[in-house]
Formats: sequence, C-alpha cells, structure tokens
Amino acid sequence: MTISDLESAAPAEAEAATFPYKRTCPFTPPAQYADMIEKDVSEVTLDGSGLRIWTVTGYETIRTLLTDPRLSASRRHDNFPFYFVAPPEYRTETSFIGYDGAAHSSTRRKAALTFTHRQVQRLRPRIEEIVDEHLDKLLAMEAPADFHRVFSLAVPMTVICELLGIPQDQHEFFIKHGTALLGGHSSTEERQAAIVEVNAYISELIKQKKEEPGEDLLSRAMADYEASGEEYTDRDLFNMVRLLMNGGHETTASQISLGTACLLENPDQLELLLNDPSLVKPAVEELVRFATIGDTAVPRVALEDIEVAGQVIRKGDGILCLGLAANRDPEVFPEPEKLDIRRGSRKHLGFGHGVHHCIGADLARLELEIVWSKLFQRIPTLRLAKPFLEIPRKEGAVIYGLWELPVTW
Amino acid sequence: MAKITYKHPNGTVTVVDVRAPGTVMRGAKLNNIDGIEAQCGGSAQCGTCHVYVDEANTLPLPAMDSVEDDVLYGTACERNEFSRLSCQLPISEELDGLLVHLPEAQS
Repeated sequence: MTISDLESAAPAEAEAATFPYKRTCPFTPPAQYADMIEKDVSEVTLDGSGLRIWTVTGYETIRTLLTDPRLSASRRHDNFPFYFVAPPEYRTETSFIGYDGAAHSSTRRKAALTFTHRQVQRLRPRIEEIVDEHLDKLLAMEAPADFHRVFSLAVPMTVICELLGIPQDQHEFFIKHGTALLGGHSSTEERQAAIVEVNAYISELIKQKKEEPGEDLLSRAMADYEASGEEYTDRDLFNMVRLLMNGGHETTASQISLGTACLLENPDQLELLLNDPSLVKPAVEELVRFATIGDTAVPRVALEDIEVAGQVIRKGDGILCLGLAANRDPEVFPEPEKLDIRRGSRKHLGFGHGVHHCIGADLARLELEIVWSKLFQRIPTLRLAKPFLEIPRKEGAVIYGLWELPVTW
Repeated sequence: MAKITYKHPNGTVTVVDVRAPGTVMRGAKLNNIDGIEAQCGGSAQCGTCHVYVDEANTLPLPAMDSVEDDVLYGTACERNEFSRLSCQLPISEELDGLLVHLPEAQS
C-alpha cells in the first residue's frame, strides 16, 4: 500500500478525543484537521493535561499570530498547552525558547552567531566528512540495519556535540534523555529525571570549560556573558546548552529518517533528484514542508484578549499553531498534498515563524542537503526493510518522527 | 506610535503609522508593503527584511549587534553602511519620521 492509497482511508484513530491527533500516515495530517482547517481557529482538549486550548491552522493567521507581541512563549502560564503531564522543570528550566521580549533576545543572542547562514556554511567540509564517515559505518554493517539509529541520529548528534563542546562519548546519554524529554511515551518521572540529569552533566562540563575554554559555543557564551557585564548563572548556560542539544539532534534526525523514507516511497521524486543533483536544496525545503515534524511544537499563551480569525481568544488561553495544517494551505502551496521536490518554496512554516523561528534552521538545511546529496549516490540500492506504514511512529511526541527505520541495500 | 516611510526602488513611497511594540519589519508586513519578505518572521536569521536607512537619518537607532551584522553579509542585495534588518528596529516614538529604502530584492 502506498501513501496515496492511504490518504483516502479513514484511520481507526480518527475519533480520538484528545489532542495531539494521530497522523493518517507520517505525511498526511490527522483526519480531524480537515474540519479544523475549515474553521481556522478551533477548541480542543489536550491529552495528559486535559486543558481546553485553541488550535490555529491557517497559514496567514499563524504568521500574523507568531509576530504578535501579545502572545507569550513562557511555559510558566497555567494554561500553557502541554499535551502531557509536565514536571515543574518544564516550566522553569526553558532557556530562550520559553522567554519573551528582551530576555528572549539577549539570551538567544548568546547562541545565534554560531547558527547564522554565513557561519554555518563554514561547517560544510566537516559535515561532509561526518556524513561520509557514518555512511562508511552503515555500509560496514550487515543488512538490514536501523538507519535511524546508525545514521540519522548519529550525524546531527556528532555535529551538535562538536559545536557545543560536548565530548563525543556522550551520544548515548543525550539520545536516551532527548528521547525521554521530547518523546511521546515518556512518563512525567522520566521527563523530570532526564532534565535533571542532563542539567547536572552540563553543569560539570561548565566547570571544565571555565578552567579550559575551547572554541565551542559553550565557552564562547561564557565569554560573551563576561564581556557584556550581564549577570548570569550556570543555570542560564545549562538550560541553553540543553535546548540546543535537543533541538540540534532529535529534530534533524527525525527529518533525515522521514525524508529518506519519503523519497524511497516516492521513487519518481527520488529519480528526479538522482538525475539532477541541483534539486537537493528545493528537495530539502519540500521534505521539511511535507513532514512538518514540529507540527505540535509551536505553543503560545495569549497575554490579553485577542481576536483571531473572528474568534476571541481570552487572556491566559493556550494556543497551538499547527504548522502541518498551514503547510497544506493550497493558497500558498498549490496541490499541497503532492510531494514535488521541484517546488522549493521556503515559505513553509517547518521551522516556525517569528522571533522564536528555529535558531538551527540553516544548520539543519545544510545537514539535510549534504545527507541527501550523498546518501543515494553512495548507496543506490538503499531500500526499506519493512513496509513503511508498519514502522512505529512517535505519536504524541513534541517532535514527530519514526522510532526506527530498518533499511537494506 | 511612529510614522515610518518605506521608499520603493521605483521611487514610490508608502507612509504608515506603526504601533509599539512592533518593528519596522512588522509595520511593513501588517500594511502589506511589498519589498519586505521577512521569511523567518523577525528572528534576525533570514536576512529578507533588509532595508537601507536614509543617508540623512538623524533619528537614534539601536546599535547593530554581531548577529545582525553577520546576517547582513548574506542579503540578496549588497549591504552598505546604511543597511539594517528591519526586524531589529523596534518602534518607539523616537523613530517617528524614519525613512527606509527598500532593496531591489530580498531573496
């Protein structure tokens, strides 16, 4: 059965009462979205927390909302739209993803210079090496192998560890805790333990970097704080590094696996790419749009009564801006359900929008470009070792993705 | 509130009142002024809200930080000494009367 066969099939989960709803297939919005897209602004009940919150689905509505200073990203609001039972640390230990206004910009600035387009392009040769090394590792294994584990997770993890100044022997530690923090299956206790243990680890690392600074982001952020004269604590640093670590591996890993599976399931599109390697950049944009792994990762709270698409949202109400729905807006993306790697539109909301736009977007784009430039050239016989729709998915996770990707060649 | 003037490359001008809190970029987007893309929406990342502040400007602008400076090296139209990212120009009454020139292209 192909993806397009399934698009018309009604999923058994369509009647699920609480949000997040399950996707019909990884590249098809949940069945409930059709009605929500019609309304633009809808009220839903969240899983876990049981909160009633608003979802917004319109492309222009979301873009306007996400540049509206009357919305807050702070996790401290009572109605912040968590769709699981969040431990208290999820509200207090957030770094800039959960800050507003000047606190947000001054903290984000400590990391932003590492991730500008110009700085990221300087990493190209090193990322090419990392990708080649991991393809060598994969090819040295006996097929079938779990591509997600061996390649998709390992490549961005290696890159982000180098950037942040985290030793490479800590991959398993961060993968385990990243999965607990962002995954959909974790208990509240597992989420809490993960945040506490990761913070403790980074605190130790901060001590080392204070004595022996390196060329990494953590060392530079400390130097920036010192130079600026701003008051800061280790807490500011470990929360920022944890945010960048999780944002820097789980997301890109999910996108590598989903995008690779998507190309394998759409051989006409893969052939286009193989015949014209210059299509890789537009292919990256299209695959990010098509999967929108952060569909449920753009939460806000209204700081005052606001009117959104004719609906009054009250001060204190939680809001989720659903990027997957917006990225299927036919006004912006003609034939939105069709995968077309030639589309190449960068208008999608796959990296969010506004001041909280993904700080690592240019790094992710470069990693994906290099991965899909090399992968099918080096392993032209790559194929799935399990029917795509039988591969378990991260339902209810903050970042959508696959739990594994068995491949053979 | 500040009156901001956006001058297009063909010489036409659009004048709008922009409210605080907001930015010169948001003022353009809310008023559907062509010539400001702001793909990222205001995080000083994409470089598609590039403007040239008028050479004769005497209004006090916030200092440019190292991130904005770096991003301005990647804009579609070449930067000059008057280049700014309009998302990094917050609206205040002090900016009342600001004139910015829009580049030929943003991406």
